[in-house]
Amino acid sequence: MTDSSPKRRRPQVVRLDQGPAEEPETACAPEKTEPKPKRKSTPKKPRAPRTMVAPEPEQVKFDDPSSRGELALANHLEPAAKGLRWGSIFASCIAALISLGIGLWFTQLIEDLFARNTWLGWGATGLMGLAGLALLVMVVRELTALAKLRKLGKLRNDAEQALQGNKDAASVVQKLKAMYRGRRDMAWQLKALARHDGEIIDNDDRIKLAERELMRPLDAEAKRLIANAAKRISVVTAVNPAPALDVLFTGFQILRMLRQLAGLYGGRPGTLETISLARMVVTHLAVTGGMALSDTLIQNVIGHGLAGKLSSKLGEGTVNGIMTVRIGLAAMDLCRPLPYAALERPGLREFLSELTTFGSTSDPDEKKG
Amino acid sequence: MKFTSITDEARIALGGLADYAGGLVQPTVRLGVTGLSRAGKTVFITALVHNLLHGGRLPLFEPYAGGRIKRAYLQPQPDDDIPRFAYEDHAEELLSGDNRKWPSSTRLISQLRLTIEFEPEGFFARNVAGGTLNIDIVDYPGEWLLDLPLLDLTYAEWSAEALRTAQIAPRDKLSKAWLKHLAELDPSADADEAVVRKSAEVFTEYLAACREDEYALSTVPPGRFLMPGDLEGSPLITFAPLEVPKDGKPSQGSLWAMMERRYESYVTRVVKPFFMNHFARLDRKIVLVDILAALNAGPAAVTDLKQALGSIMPCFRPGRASWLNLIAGKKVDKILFAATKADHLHHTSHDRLEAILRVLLDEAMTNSKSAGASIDAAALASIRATREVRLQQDGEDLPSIVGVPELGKGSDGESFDGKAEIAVFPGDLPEDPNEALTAHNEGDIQFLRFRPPVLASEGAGQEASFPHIRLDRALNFLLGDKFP
Repeated sequence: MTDSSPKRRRPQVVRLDQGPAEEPETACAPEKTEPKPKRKSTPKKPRAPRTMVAPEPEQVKFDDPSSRGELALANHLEPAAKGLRWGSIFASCIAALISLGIGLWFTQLIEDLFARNTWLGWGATGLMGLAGLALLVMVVRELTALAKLRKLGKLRNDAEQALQGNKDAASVVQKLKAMYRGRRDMAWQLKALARHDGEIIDNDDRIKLAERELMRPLDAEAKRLIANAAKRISVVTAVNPAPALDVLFTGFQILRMLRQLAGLYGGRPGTLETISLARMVVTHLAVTGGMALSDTLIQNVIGHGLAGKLSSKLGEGTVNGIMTVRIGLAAMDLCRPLPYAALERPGLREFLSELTTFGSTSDPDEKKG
Repeated sequence: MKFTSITDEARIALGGLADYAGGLVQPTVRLGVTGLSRAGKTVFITALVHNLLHGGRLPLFEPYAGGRIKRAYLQPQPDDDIPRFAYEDHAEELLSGDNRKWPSSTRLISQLRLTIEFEPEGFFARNVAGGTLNIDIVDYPGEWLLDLPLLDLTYAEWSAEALRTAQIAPRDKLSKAWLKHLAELDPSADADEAVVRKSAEVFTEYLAACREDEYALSTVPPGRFLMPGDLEGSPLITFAPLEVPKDGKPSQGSLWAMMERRYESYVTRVVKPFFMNHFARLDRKIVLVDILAALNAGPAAVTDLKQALGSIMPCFRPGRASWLNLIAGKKVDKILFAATKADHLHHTSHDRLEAILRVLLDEAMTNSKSAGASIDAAALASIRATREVRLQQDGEDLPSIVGVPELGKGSDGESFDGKAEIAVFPGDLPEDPNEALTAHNEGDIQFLRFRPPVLASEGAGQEASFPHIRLDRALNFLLGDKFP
C-alpha cells in the first residue's frame, strides 16, 4: 500500500432517494460534468419527475440541400444588397471606357483624349476616378467583413492537441458548437452531434466524430465555392483582352472567394497566416498579369492567327483557374477550425474536371462514383 | 510450446484453403470471442448482434456511421453439428423490463452467423464483388479455454502442476480436502472405478470452491470439470491428478495407468478437436478480460489471472494476413484485448484500467505484435448498465456511477432490493498498474454487480438500442476494413 502518490480514496455507496424518476445527468462534456451536490447524511428533497417539452418542429428549419444554388446561400455569406450597386457602377464605367476603344492603358487613353479635347479628357478622368473609388469601396467592404470574423488558429491548435491526447476534447467541441450555434444550415448537424454527448468517447475519437458531423457539409460547400470561383476566373481571363482587367477581376474574385470561405467556416485565419495567403494571391496576380502581358507580346511576334490566339488564351484561363484552386485550398486549410483527421483533404485532382469544362456549375463531388 | 504437430498444421492449412475458396464467393469473417468464464462473452455477442440488427448508436463504427450498411440479419450457422447461439433468448432476458437479468453462464458451445449487406465503396468491390459480409461468431464456456495448455502437457506434468498450485496461497485453504484425499491414494494400486470417481468428485469440488466470488480465481484445467456441457457424467472427464513422479511409467492396470489413459483420451478426443475446429481457423479475435472481479478479490486473484492468460496466449495464432497463409494456415491478423465491465468505473479511471490490462497481457501483446498482428487494448462495456455522476462528500468531489445493483448483499453488508438506484464511488485504481499485482489493503476497491439497463427509445420512430462504451470502436478495429 502506498499513499505517496495522490491518495487513494475509499469506496462509497450512496442510496438515491429520488427513486427511478430522477432526471438523468447528461455528461455532455465528460470532463466538466456539472457537479450535482448530493449530501450523504442530510435528507434529500425529492425532486418531482420532469418531462421536457420537445422543441416545436417549426423552430428548427433544416436546410434543403437540393435547393443549393448561388441564390440559396445562407445569409451569412452574401454582402448586403447595397454592394451590388457599386458593382454595377464599376461594370458600367469599365464598359463605358471599353466603348471608347480600350486596348491601351487608361492613362494613354486620357492623354490622347486630353490632346484632342480638354473636356473629353476631364470626363474620362472623372469616370475613371469613380470606377476606382467604387472598386476601392468594394475591396474595403470585403476586408472589413473578413476582419470581423474571429481568428481560428487557436481553436485548430487545441483540436490538434486533443487529437494527440494532450488536451480535453469536450471543451474544443463545445467551442465549436458555440461557434455554429446560430446558423440555420448547421442546425441538423449540431443536433446529430448532440446525440453523442452523453457517451464515453476518447478524446481523439470525439474530435474525429465532430469533424465528420460538422465539417463534411461545410467542406462540400467550400469545394463548390472554390470550383465556381476558379471556373469564373478561367473563363473571364480566357476571353478578356486587357491585362489590367484580368488582374483586377482576378484579384477581386479571389478576395470574394476568401471572404466566402471564411464566412462559411465561421472564422478567419490569424494575421501571419493571412500574410502568407496574401503572398500567394499576389503571386497569382503577378502570374496572371504576366501571362496576359506576354500574351499580347507573343501575339505581336507570332501573328494574329486565330488558332494561336484561342489556344493560348484557353491555356492561360486554365492556368489561372488552377492557381485559384490552389489558393482556395490553402485558404480552406487556414479557415477550417479542425485539422484533417477523419476526412480527406481535397486535392487539385478533384477540380481539374471543373476547370476544363465550361458552362455548368456542378458539384465536384458528384463526379466521384 | 508446440501445440500442433506437422499433420495438424497441414490440416489447419487445408481448412484455411477451403475457407479462402469459399470466401471468394461469399466473404466471411470468423470472429473469435475469447475470454475466461464470466468475462462477458455472451453479453458481448448479444450486444453486437442487437446493435447491428436494430440500428444502435455506433458513431465510431465507420461503415455504420457513414450510412453504408443496408441491412443485417441472422442466418443459420455454418456448422450443423453445433447448436445455434440462443440470441433471441438472451436478448429477451435483457429486455424483459422488471425481470431483466444478465444471461447465465454459457454451458455449451454455440455458433451464430450474422450477414451484413452494405454499399461497397471501392471500384473493385462495386463492380465485381457484392456487398455482403458474413460474420461467424462462436460462443463457448470460458472454462474450456484453460484446457488448451493441456495439449502440451503429459499426465505427470499436469498432475505436478495441479499439485504445485494447490499448495500456494490462497488455494491452500481450499484444497485441504482434496490433498487429504490424495494422500490416501496409492498410484500403483489396482484401478478401481469407484476410487477414480470419488477422486474426480473431490477434485471438482476443490475447483468449484476456487471460483467463488471471494477468491475469483481462474480455474485450474480441465475446464470441463466445472462446465461439462455434453460430457456430463462421461468417463472422459472422470479423472484427477495423482502424486506421480514425472519420469516414471505406470504399471499395467494400476490406478495411475487408468488415470493417464483417461487424461490422454480427454486431450485427444475433447481438447484437440475444440482447438482445431474453432481456434485454428479464426480471422479476428477479441479477448475479453474481467479485471474488476480480480481487483475486487485482491492481488492474488490478479496474479492468478495474469498466469492464466499467459498460459493460453501461445495457442492464439497471431500473424499478418498474407498469401503465405494459404500454405501455412490462417493467422489472426487483428487482436483486440478488452477489459470488460468498464461501466463499473467512471470514465476518468478507464485509462488506468487499460494500463492494468497492458501489464497483465504484456508478454502476449509483445508476442502478437512481433508476429505481425495488429493489436489494440481498450476498456469496454458491451452493455452500459450505469450512468455517471459526481458525488460531493466532505468537500471532496468523487466521480461516481449510478445504477441498480442486483438483489443481494454487498460486501459491506448492505442489502439491495434490485429496484432502487445506488450511487457508488468504486475507489481509486492504483496509478501504477503494477501495484494491482502486489499487496494492498482489502477494500480499497469495491465493485457491485448491476442489473442491465432499462432500454428507452431515443425519439419518435427510433428503436431502442443498448448503450455501450467503446463497442463501436472495437467493431471498427476488428471489422472496419472488411467493408471495402
